[in-house]
Amino acid sequence: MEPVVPKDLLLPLPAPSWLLTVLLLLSFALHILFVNLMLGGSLLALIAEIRGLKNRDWDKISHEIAKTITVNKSIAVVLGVAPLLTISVLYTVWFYTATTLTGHTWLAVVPLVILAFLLSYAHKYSWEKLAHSKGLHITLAAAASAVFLIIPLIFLTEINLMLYPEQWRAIASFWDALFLSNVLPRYFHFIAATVALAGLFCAWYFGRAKYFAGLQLETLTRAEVVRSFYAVALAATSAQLFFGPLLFLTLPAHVISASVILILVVILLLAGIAIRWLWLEVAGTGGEPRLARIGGILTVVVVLMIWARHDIRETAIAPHRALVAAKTADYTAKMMQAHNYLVMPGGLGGTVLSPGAQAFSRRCASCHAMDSRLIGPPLKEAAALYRGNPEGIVTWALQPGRRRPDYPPMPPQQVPRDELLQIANYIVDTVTKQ
Amino acid sequence: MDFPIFHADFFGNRLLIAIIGILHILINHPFAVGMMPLITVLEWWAYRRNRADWDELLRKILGVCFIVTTTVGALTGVGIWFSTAVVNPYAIGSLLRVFYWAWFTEWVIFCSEVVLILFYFLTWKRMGGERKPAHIRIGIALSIMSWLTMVIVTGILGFMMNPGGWAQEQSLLSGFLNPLYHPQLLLRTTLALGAAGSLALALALPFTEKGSKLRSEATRIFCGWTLFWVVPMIIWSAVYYRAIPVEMLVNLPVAFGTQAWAGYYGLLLKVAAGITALLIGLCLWGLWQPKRTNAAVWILPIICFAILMGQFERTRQFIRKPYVIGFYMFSNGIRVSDVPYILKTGVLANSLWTRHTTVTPENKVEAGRDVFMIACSRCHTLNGMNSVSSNLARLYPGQAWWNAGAIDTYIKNIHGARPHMPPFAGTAAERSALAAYLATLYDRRDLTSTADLPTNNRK
Repeated sequence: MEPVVPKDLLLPLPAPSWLLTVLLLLSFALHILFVNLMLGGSLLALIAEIRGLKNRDWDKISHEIAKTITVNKSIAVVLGVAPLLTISVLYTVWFYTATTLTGHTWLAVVPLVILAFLLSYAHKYSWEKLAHSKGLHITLAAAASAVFLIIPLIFLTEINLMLYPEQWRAIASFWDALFLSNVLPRYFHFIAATVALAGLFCAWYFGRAKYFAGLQLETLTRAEVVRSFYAVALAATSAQLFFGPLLFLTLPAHVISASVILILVVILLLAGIAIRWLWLEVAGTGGEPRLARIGGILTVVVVLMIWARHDIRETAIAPHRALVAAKTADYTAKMMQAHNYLVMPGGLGGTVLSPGAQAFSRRCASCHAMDSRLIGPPLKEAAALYRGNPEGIVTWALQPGRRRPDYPPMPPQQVPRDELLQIANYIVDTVTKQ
Repeated sequence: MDFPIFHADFFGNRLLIAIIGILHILINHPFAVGMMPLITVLEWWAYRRNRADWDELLRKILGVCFIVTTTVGALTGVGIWFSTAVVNPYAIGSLLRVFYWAWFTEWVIFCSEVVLILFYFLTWKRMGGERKPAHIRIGIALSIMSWLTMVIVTGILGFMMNPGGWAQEQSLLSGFLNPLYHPQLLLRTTLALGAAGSLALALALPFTEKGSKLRSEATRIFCGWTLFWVVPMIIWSAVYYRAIPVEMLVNLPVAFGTQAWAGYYGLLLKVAAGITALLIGLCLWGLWQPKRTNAAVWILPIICFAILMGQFERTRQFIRKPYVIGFYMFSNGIRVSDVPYILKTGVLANSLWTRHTTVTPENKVEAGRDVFMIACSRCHTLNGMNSVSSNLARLYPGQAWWNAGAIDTYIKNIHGARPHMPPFAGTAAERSALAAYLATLYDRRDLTSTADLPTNNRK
């Protein structure tokens, strides 16, 4: 299909595009980190609470995770504003087209996030009150997680749709956009990453000796808890060995560049190292703790992923961007020409109207014609009433009464008296001449 | 013209933005900007007097504000971006290009505000005793940050009404320090502080016992705080009123009510004055006779504030018409300087997402509907709120049919008849097609669904 080629807004970018790009990628990395902790934390808290039905220690751990979610979620939202604004500025045409095409679903993000947040608060603050109705309490956690899971799907759909201008005409609803080739692989890849990062975060969080001692668990040791979270991170990171290639293979060929392949190879190598270290932690082989190393290497992986994602976006959009720029330049030239034509003397052509006629067409012509009914009655009737008394028209226009029930009432005219008098004279003259 | 058309026909696109925006202000002003200084000042007062009961009351009030601001408050703020982007991408996209760095700065402040409120509320119990002064300092920092977000966003809101020197210079600062800046900032500040007092009074109810000393103290203190800010609020609203561009004041009667209510402008103004007077009266009552108060004194003031704030925002959003960015872009997203070119070449020829590019005798009504979607649908629905069909029915009461020719003439000069309407930008053929389409609304409802919108059929 032919791509749709809109023109850009006719205002310059507020900064060089490289600077905006750096800001976009950096702020997005921060945002997505806290989104991962919020969403992944929500899932882990749910699982831990279910395990807590058998072993009360896990219930305690779940409560601790729940307390981090409500903090991380606030930071995630506020950090999201900068990438949202920056992508709107840098990719105005593409981003806004994608969001307006699927407007209703895009707007649904707002109430959905509010709902998920309120459910998280309800879950966190009802721990003691609902201690004896665990079923209900776990339902709250499950509901929050379910709503949290929907939101990234919407975002990914928009971000994916903006890359394919040649598909835009075929999109009638959110569902069409959702099932474009690689939205779902991207989504599963993201969810696995979320669980991996949240697992690693919990391994650090519960690995702090003093904090852990303060929890006063009954049976579980610190090493056991930490190892469980490493196991979660290991499982999720290993799953990426499936989701990563799946994502790559579902990308359309024209968005893949040589540089992106190079980045992906590096990511694969680093992920391999991370998986080995995670495995050593889960197996409990001892030695130097590897948390900092694993955290470091996964941070590099996340940064590279964001870079790869940007590379794909640029490759996908580049040809279309040139079309947009050409169209914008062409439009600007024509628009300026039309504009200058208007302001040049004699540009409007035609006869010059008297001040009364001009004021009449500006103030009255919408609703009144001389001979026929428009909104108001034909003015030849008024002219007959006020012949020799144009002042009467002025008085009426300033404070109209109501004579005809089959017409809407005339609103009082907020027009200077002398201008109204010019109009009144024009009306009476015109009708008299007829 | 360049973006697909999002259209919510029942609700109206305008109302969608208005509801999210007004809800955000109703939370932001009293729950955050006004409340943080109030709580911080009283926390210090309670600390000096060793009042543990007051400390606990303040923590509970803050808890409610914490939950409300970090959920509905934060998300309606983000929601303004979401809704404006789908309804009028031209306007919000343009504003973003001018004010990117202002918003970016606001974002940095915003981040620190969120971190501070998390700290302030979540460490309240832990930072007692000796660490109380440090906790109070967090409150001070939080109060300053909350207010700074208002300092920045007010510049942008004022700009939308009157860009001032920007039209010539197109620089961020000239747009920012527009003529409406100071009056609006001071009005909003005093309004927020006053409303916070009334909100705190209402929120204190479930946390204090009837007839208790704490309750009557709270009544007196919160009523006194509100009264203290209401007086400057009245002064600054008068100053602000005087700074509104004359062209926009013409809109006030319609903006304040609706078109149908324009005639009652004087009455509504009196109602607003009456509400303010009621507010003052209730606060005086609470201040003098805090022990002899009832639900009216505790609950009504914040309701009064909600009405005043809602009305202020509604009026502000409407009054800038026919522009969405004063003197630069009309409400329908067409730029003032685009008009000559569009008059010459036509609105359909410049649109990417309509069914038709030109008007022919065969497609006239359908093409007219396309014109409606581009030129009118940002503000008007077909059958929902502020619908064109109800407006037309008012113009032609009791007529057997609507005259397309008369509608055409009306549209031709619509900006003269209705100062809040932009001029029709399009060719005479397009105007006539629009009129023909509108005339068909006389005896049928044109129901739209997303699938039905003019989008995909063009090559």
